Amino acid sequence: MGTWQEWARAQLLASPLSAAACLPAVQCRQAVQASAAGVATTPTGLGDPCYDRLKRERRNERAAAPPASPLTPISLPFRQAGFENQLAAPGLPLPAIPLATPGHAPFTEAARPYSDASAPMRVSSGVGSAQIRTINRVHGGGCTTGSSSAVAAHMAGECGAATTLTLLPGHGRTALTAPAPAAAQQPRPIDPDRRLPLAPGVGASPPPSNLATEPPQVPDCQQFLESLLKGKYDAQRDEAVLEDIANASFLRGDRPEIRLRHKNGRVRVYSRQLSPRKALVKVSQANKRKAAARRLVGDGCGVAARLQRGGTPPSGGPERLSVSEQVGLVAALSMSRVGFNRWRLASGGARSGLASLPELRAARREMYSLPGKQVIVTRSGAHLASLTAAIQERVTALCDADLFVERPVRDALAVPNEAGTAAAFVAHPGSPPSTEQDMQVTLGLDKGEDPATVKIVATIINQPHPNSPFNTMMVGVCPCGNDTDEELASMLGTLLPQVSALLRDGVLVRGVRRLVRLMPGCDYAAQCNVVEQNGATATQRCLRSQRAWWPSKQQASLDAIYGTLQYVTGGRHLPEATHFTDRMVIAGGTPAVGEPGTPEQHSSVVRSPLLAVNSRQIGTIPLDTTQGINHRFLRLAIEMMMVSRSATEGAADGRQAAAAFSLELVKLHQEKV
Amino acid sequence: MRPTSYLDGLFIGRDCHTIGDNSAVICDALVGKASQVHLYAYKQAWFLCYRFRKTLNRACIISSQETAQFWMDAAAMVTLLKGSFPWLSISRKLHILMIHAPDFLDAFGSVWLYWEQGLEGWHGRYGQHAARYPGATSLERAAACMRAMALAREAGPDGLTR
Repeated sequence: MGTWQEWARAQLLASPLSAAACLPAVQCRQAVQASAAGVATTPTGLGDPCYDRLKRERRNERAAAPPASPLTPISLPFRQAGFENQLAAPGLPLPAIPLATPGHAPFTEAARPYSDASAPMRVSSGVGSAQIRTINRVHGGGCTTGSSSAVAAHMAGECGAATTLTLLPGHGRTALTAPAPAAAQQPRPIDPDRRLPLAPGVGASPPPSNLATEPPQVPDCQQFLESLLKGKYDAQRDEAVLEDIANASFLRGDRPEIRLRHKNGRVRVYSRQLSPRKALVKVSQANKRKAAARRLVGDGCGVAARLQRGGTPPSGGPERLSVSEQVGLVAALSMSRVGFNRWRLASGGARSGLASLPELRAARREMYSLPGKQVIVTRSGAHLASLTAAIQERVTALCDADLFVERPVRDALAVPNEAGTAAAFVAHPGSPPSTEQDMQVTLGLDKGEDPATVKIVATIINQPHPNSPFNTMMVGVCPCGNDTDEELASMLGTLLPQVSALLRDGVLVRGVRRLVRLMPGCDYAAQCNVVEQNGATATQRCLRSQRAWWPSKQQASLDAIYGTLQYVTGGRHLPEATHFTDRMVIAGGTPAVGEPGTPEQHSSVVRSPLLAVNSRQIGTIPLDTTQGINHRFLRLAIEMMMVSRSATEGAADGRQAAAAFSLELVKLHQEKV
Repeated sequence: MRPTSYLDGLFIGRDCHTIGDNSAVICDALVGKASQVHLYAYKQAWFLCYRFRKTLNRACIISSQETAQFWMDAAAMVTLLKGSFPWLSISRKLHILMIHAPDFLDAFGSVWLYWEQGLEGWHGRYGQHAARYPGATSLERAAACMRAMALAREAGPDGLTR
């Protein structure tokens, strides 16, 4: 390098070679280290294409600009300690040196605030010169290396100060000078971002003096906005910077999406997504979340909100229960007398308002004497002594509490028959005309629990929530092993006279006697066990002749003879339904058909009814009906599959396939539950 | 051998609607396993059942038009089943659905309001409290329960639901 510089300097003055020889030579630290290690490398920082481009631009600007005012070259006014005796290199034209402003005296090493950013960099002042000057990198002024415009401004300010000891003032950065001999011995720190300018005066006019001395003009927000609105910024060139500005402004708010562009051009989009930490929580956490939601939403739940809406709490104040009510409450809750007495004593004894045990015993004895509370025990079970009295007590209580609800009946029970004339109804007990106000009572019995007991329950429909268990009335409890006809007849032997009396006498409602409309309910009634057999057209002949679910040719033939399909081929209101009821009331019975014990005999037996009511008032259980029909559909699917497979592959394969398909159906439905 | 509940105890109570709600799954499972005639009738029967099931299980007063539609759907379903599947017997549920439910719905406007859920509730209540009542035999315990329940009515119409 030195040899080439000597050769080039000997060339014609102002030739490119001599000018190039006058360029300062910089050795990077890596090069020094590499040369020390014996590896030939190329100094970095030279030949940077960006730097070359910027250099060309500056050169063109200088050429296009008017000639600057001549500056008088002066010697370097080294005023810092240790630099008084150092002069500029002889023979090297020195540029005009912009001095540091008086108000910004150079910091000393100890006072340097940013040691890394203002690390001194040494530049050789000229060829063959032993003097080494120290300059600092210039930072601040809003200039960043990531922006092209900022780089241009940075380089423009740096143009005339590359070989000086000057620092751009006003941004907390300062120049640091160091003794050249000491610094010469140090390894040269090379900034990869540093651009090495041409020596001033070589091939170009000197730059304006204010480029290095004046800080770059930083527009305030208002100016920036005005300039932006006026379109002074190139949307295409400054797109990245403008987008960064927009992101910096919008990041403060709640945005569903944040778009960031990195320096390498990569764009990342961050979207805000809300997801619960735990989708499934336990009861405690669920309650906490509900409470928090109620606080946040203020949905009007709770006692305070209910009071604000004008509603009344369930118990507005301390209510005094009568002794009879206390007896009823103790019995309903199955509370022992000892337990009740302890509760009373804990509540203050006589001051609590609860009756004492002697008072309870006396009230209980008195209540047991009432006809509606008496219980009789027969061989079949325990029954109420008087169903009419029990219902009358309840109706009176409902009327006193103003809870009696009228349930009008439509005229559908008196619709004309197929001939267009009014149906000639027999006056069935428990079926008053629809024009009269009635009292609707359902009566059902059902077997359940283990050991099995048949419960007979009456329900008064003329009240709110009639299906609530506490609003129903238990009429009888009958332990029952096998629900045969004999046992059923024994159970109803005690009940049916009471039902007849109820239907005959009616009930007093607010002093007016009303007839009772009886509605037999539940499966027993629907199976015609209460109204007994439906004649030859009955579907359910008796309890012994339960239908076989398995397909049977014999059963199918019986259905063809006695099945209920004939009903749907008739008129709208099933004349047979009323016909058989009338016939049952009148007729005592019909001789059975077929041999005893055969399906024919079971399917055709006709007996006089135990209780004759209008069959159109037989209530049904919708949920049980729906459940039974759905299960029948499932069985039908299996039967379809078995029939189809048996026709092609035989009965054995059909049964096996049906068994496998039933398991498949169970699996399918378990997945849906 | 132990008794096993039907379908592992599923679809009891209100869950029985799950079967009807997923009838399409059953029909899809039958494709290729049953004859086309049977499968078509089966789908039609499910469709009719779906329509009247909503009417049957609704606790409100049903209009006359919907009642007539209910009767036609129930009768059409039973006719279709009986005509398409000769081996099918008329079960008591189908009998209730076709004979009693439409008339009752026509007369009183609702089936759900008159059904006896209280009776079903008494089974559980009796099984829970029967052991507390004195008695050597089940008949004596039943009598004690009857007396207690007779007294319980004195608690008032809204005493126990307060």
